[in-house]
Amino acid sequence: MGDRLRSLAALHIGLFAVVAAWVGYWQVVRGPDVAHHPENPRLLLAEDRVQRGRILDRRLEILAHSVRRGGRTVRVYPKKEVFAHPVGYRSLLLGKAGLEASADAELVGMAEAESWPALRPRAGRPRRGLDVVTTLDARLQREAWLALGPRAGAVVVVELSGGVLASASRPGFDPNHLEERWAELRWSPSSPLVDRALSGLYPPGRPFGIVVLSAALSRGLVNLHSPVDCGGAGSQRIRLVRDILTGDCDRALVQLGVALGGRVLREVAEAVGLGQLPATDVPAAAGALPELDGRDRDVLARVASGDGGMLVSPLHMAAVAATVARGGERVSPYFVQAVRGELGIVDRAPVRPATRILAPEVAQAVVEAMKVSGKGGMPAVTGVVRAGRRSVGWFVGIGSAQQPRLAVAVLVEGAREEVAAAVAQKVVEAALRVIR
Amino acid sequence: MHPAGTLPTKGVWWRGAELYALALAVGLAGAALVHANKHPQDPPLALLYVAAALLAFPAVDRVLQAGESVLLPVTALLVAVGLVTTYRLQPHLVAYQAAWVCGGLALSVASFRLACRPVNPQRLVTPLAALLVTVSLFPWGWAWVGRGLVIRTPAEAAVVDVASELAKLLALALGVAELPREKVRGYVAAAWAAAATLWLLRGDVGTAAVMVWVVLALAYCAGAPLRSVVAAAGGFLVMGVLAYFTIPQVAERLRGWVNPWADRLGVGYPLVQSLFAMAAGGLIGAGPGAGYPELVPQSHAGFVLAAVAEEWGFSGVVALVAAYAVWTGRAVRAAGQAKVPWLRLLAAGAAALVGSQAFLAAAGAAALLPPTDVAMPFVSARGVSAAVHLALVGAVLAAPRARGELPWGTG
Repeated sequence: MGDRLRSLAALHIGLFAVVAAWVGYWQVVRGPDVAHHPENPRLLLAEDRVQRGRILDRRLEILAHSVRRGGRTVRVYPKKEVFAHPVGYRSLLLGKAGLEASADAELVGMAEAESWPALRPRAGRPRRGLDVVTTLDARLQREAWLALGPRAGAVVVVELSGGVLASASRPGFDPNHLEERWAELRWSPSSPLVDRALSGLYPPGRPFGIVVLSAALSRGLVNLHSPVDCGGAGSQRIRLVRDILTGDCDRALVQLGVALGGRVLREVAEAVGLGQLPATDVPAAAGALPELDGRDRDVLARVASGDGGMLVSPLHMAAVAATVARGGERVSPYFVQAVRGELGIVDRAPVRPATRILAPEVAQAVVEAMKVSGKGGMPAVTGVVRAGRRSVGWFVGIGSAQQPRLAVAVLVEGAREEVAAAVAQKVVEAALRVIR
Repeated sequence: MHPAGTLPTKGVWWRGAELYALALAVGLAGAALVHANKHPQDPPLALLYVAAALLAFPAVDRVLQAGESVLLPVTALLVAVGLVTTYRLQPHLVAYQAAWVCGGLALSVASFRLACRPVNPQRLVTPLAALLVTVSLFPWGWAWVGRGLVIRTPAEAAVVDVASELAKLLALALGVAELPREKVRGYVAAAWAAAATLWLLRGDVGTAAVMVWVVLALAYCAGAPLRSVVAAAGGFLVMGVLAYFTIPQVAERLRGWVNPWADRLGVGYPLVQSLFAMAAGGLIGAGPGAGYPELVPQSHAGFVLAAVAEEWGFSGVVALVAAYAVWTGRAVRAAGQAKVPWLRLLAAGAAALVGSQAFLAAAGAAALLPPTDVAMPFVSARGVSAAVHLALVGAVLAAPRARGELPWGTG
């Protein structure tokens, strides 16, 4: 009977060993696969347990942070509507937008090790996400916001490296009270939820002349001193190419575009980034660049005048101006300059090799032409286009003629270019102070 | 070990002190972490309940002076894990669970005293059977036999729990009473019939399997030929195949087990969630209160291993399973030291009862076997189960001590 008892114990202990080995297989060997199964509800739930990281401006001023209030964590945006568009919002009801959406992985701390165990809370201690340091400058953003005043419009200021210093859009909204006002904001005719700086799409109008002139100069079609026929009568009729962006000579600009041909025009427009996603790390509208190869003169003429189905955002135009100001090296705007953990910087914006798309002398010549058309000593191109039922004033310029350091694009709905120019004047003055 | 009847009666209670301290530490640390993670605002009453229930173990040990220094402390360890998971998943039940544990410990003192006296085990059968019939006939009790797995009220669920525990206990008691008198065949046949009835009426495979398991273990220990034991086990499997074709609930569970991923939101849902929980636990677990075991259906009862696996990790699972292995081994050892035949069988049967349930619950939660509703003894948040098994512990502790008087026919 002793033997039988012994084998009874052995049977049970053996079965326990089998079940332990089986559980070990599923927990440890197959564990990572199973834990990453898309239907594992833990992935979604774990995000709520992470203390979301902060969004900071270039001087580490807080643009968004999570605060404990009455037992629950609330996302607070201390800059309210000024940063509503670039920073965006995060709401369980409404989802995410702006940097809150595009830098989500970093903010919940998944960038450290992109896996489920990284999200798994440790006993008793909530995990902290990473802080996102943006290229934005809180003071400049406020200046841009105030300069726009009550008008609908947008201001984008880009450093020549591509870092976006300011990206303001009006009308705005207060992301701290988004859920209560959602219906009102959603259906408001002034579309306050649309980020006009990044997602507002407009015909570029005369500022597209920068692209046309660049193409004509780089193909050797003209030089700055070639005479052009500006139409009209009298002594103003024949001018030089350097005057072509001033606004008195749009006819010549169109002729230049037609002479270049659709293929070349589209090539250069694509090279400077039109019709493509403008920013590298934030969702923005790609815009539209019509197919131009083999189209007739009328279509080409309309496109060369900055219309004809072409749509760009202020961010696009700021990138175009920055590319010219940088001597022909393409500028790709970005918003995130670094990601910081508790122990310091975790990740930096990648340094991309510079892509030259225009010869330095061509870029220099375009800047010369922009100086001629500029306002207040700033190389710039202004223009008015019709977008739907409204007219839209544009200002695309370069910060300081002597030493180009930044590019600016201002767009004002329902106003003339002078208004846009005045806004740009204030913003660039502030910007040059800020980045000094 | 000391020969029966000559055990020292003084100065042994502290030998399990380290294990009791471990159980208390596991229980209090686990409950404190759950409290900090889940209910930081509430007063930490649960810690009091856990401490009270766990401190009752060394007190009982001191009263019994049983001379067995491992079985009761290991039981305390299992109860500690059970109270922590109960607090984690069913916080409103933790006071009841602690009360059931204390009640079970009182029963264990009684059963220890009873078993130390010359008793005719046949006299246990009639009250148990009467109790089972009474419970089953209680107004809600028909749920247990009548309506299959459909349980509508907590009262019905409680009755089903009680009846299921009583049925297993009855199988054990019958075997203990009848087997020494070499009624092996009739006994096995009777238990078989009971199991088949359970299956046909309720689709309750778990209880039936535990009953048959205990019966066969008893028959084997009582000297039944191995051939017939294996044949009886094979017959049980044949019954399983028949059940698959005749009982829809059984067929559904089996399909959910064969490939849980095929119907992840339907019949495979509990198993898939259980595997997710285990995978999330990894080697060291998320920590008590820091995982999501509430996503697993029945994770406080049948699937409690998934909860342990997620929050305590694979290391916790190994520790838990090892504790069950030690428990089973110590109970069998007590059986080996018993001088009274029926107590020898009782201890062996208790080992089979606890071992089979722990194995079936663990294997069911890990998809090694089709899941059944079997609760993990001492760990699942089922108070009746904890109390019944604690009562058995008293009898097992008594087995090596009881004098070698043969009480047959003297009752």
